[in-house]
Amino acid sequence: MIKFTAVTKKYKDITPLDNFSMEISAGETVILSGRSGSGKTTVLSLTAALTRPTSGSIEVNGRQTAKLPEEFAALFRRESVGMIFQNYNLLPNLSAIDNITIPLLPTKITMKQQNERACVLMEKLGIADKAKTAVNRLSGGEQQRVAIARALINNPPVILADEPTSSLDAKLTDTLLEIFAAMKAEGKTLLIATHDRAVAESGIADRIIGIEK
Amino acid sequence: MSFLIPDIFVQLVLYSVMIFFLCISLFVGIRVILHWDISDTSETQYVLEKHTYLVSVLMKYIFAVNIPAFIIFIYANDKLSAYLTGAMCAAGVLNATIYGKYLMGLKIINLYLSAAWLTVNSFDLKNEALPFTYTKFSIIPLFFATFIAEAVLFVLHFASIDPTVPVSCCNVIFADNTSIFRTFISDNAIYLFAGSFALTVLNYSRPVIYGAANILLAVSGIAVLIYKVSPYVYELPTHQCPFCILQSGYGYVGYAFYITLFTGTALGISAGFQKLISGIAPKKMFFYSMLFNIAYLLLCAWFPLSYFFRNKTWL
Amino acid sequence: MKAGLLEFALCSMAGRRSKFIFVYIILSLLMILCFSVFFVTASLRAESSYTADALPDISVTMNKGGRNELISTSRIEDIILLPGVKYAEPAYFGLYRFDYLKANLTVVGIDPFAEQYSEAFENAVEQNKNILSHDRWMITGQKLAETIDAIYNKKAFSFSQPDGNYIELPIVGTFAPQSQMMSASAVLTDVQSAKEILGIPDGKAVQISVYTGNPEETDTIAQKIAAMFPDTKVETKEIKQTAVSNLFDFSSGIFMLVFAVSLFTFFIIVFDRASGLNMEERKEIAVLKAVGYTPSDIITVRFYETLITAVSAFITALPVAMFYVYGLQAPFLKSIFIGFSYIRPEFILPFVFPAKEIALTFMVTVPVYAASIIIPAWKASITDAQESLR
Repeated sequence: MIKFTAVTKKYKDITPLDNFSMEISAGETVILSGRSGSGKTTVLSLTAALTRPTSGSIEVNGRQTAKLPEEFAALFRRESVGMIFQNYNLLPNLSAIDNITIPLLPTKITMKQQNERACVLMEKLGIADKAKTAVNRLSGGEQQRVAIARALINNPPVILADEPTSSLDAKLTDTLLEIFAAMKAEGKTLLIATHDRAVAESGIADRIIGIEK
Repeated sequence: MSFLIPDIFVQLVLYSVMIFFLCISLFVGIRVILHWDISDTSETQYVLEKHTYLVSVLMKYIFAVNIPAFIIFIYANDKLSAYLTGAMCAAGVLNATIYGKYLMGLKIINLYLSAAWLTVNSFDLKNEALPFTYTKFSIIPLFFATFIAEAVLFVLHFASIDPTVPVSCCNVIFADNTSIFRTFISDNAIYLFAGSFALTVLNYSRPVIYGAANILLAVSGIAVLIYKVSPYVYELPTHQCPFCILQSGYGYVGYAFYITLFTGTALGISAGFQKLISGIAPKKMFFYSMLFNIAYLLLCAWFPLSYFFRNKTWL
Repeated sequence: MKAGLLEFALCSMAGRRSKFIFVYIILSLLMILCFSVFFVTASLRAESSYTADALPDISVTMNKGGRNELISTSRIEDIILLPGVKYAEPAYFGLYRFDYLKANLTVVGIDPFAEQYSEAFENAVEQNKNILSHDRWMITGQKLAETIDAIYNKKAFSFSQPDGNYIELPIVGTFAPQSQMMSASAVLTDVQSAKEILGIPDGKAVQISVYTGNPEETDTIAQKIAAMFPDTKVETKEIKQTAVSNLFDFSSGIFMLVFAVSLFTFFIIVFDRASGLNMEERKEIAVLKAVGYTPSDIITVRFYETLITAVSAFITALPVAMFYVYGLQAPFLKSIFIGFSYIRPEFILPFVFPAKEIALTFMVTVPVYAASIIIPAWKASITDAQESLR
């Protein structure tokens, strides 16, 4: 499902990723671990084709993404990848449901269907009653779930999570792990970048890939 | 002083914006011609790809602005005809300076060029490998040159209009029989038009020839409009003019003629052009091109026929 | 049109309200300026075309050393013999200073028995048959008649002649010319009274009005008259009209210069403001990219924002400018176009629906605004998302 072959990413003066290879098969849940600054986020960005590698090849969901032009990279991302961030990255002046449907706005799906899809997801995640609430009035856990719903709305086969638990307490972390387990049960490929031991020890991961420099 | 007349002033403003954008496009175009290499993974190539995207947005803007600018141009010449002794419509004003007719020609060519460029562009952007980026950017310097030439002619044309010198009106300009070439065209306009129309129909499934035939159709279409159809619009055998039909007295019917002819032939030429460089024929474009061409044919036939049925005679 | 993106653009604008309100206000002001100038020009041009109705095909005046003098009526006999001349007559008109209104009245002497070549005068004679039974009479526009009635409380007006004597004319009727200027200031009277009021001796006239049968002959005839009488100034109707029209275009041209500078400044300001993305905007774009928005989607959102701002400014500016020009009668601006002189009648700008002026204003403001956001929008659409997502 995700295959990195000898991938190097260089910026002007730093090289966050040097000759890195990994292979993740479909339906696997993998934890990327490593100190902060070790290149975990770079791996996620490269997987999502948000940035291009300096050299090496990347294959995600059957597509060679290393050299995709921007337009195609975006379309690929829309179809194949859902992203969950540490600080949720919600748009503060929109309501929960509007945040969730953002990825669908440029598509041909009608507004009605968009809202239906969002409602199903919110129901699943237990935030159905918060649909019309502005996201900046939601609690941290609720915001997290809005962000997860947004990542899932396009029904992508690959879910990427960047330090998803770092701003959650123990109880919310458990809830999140349950949600991840449910995604795993649905057959999604999960790639979680974290240095949180609770996640690593929860047994959700099939594998842990350590990134060292 | 004519540059401060609002209609002309607006065009100057639009020209300056478009030239600004074209300079950026030219700059990117030259870099693409020198450095484009789609297999390269370097940062330079990545940045260059992003810049080509900017150029395609700028070109869309230029095309979108050029069409209303063209209408304002005709309108401004039409309006100036009131100030020039002898001129009754835009034809007299365009003929008042030596630059007028070249300016008009270049404006039309540039419209067709930008339409063709955009077709290739949209086709290019549909393919991950961006196969025609190099090709489309090699056209940019040419387009830049013709566009700058157009702008220069524009300034020269309006700067050298002299309201004190009497000019010819359209009757005189288009009835001029001194040139053999022009006489030939005016005598055979119907055959030329029918011929090129037949050529497009027969080659509907041969895209490149179809595109080329559309160039002929555009030229002969205008000829037939001037020499054979417009007298029926005016209902006056001696009045042959492509501009007076744009005036309110004739219900602005000229715009219908020009819009159908331009849309049909521009689509046809662009589609042929695309087939020529990419090898793939955009089916829909051929269809719509044909549709507009037929609409133009019907429009051209309508005025003489309705005149004939009302008066039982030809002009 | 992607409805979803349009709605998103609206929400996103609501979040960055101050930025758009600023652009909206400036754009509205620019449009109001442009609309107002164009509307006043269009209105004045219409007014002048109504006035031109009273112009003869060719007017012949006496001009010696740059001085306008009275022309001797005996020359009519020579002019009328020229082939192509249908009719030639002496014209008696001039200004009468009406101190009370601080305005000049235009006094025109007409012969009710002769054919009138002006539609307005023709109607005036038609509607006031009773003038034929008067020796001396005057006809004014409705507005002037009311003013005189209000001041003197009688339907007559006393003119002071150049020699100090007074001559009282009864107002026997009113007429309604299309021209507002004429309605407010024109006084039609019999030829004899006109000559006395304006101090024109017998055998002289202000000008000789020449009417031609065929408009295409007019220029040739004008040249012949000029050659026949070197001491005269011969002007065709077309030349006079063009001169007036050019004058308006020239005045609006000066505004165009001011406008060009403002437009350029506007371009720079918007370009600058749209280029500088703050943290929040950066984040928003990064999020959009992360969820799979293509660069063209992002540019489309920006385009919709521009469109919404431009259309709102447009629908604000149009009624404001209409009200300023036709409702308030364009204070200040009108004076610039017609001069600050107080010695002129107050007249109302005639309403003409300025479709062409609206289109031109649109074509000069909106593309410039759109142009100023293209490059910043593109820049935003290709920014590196990775940084802003952390």
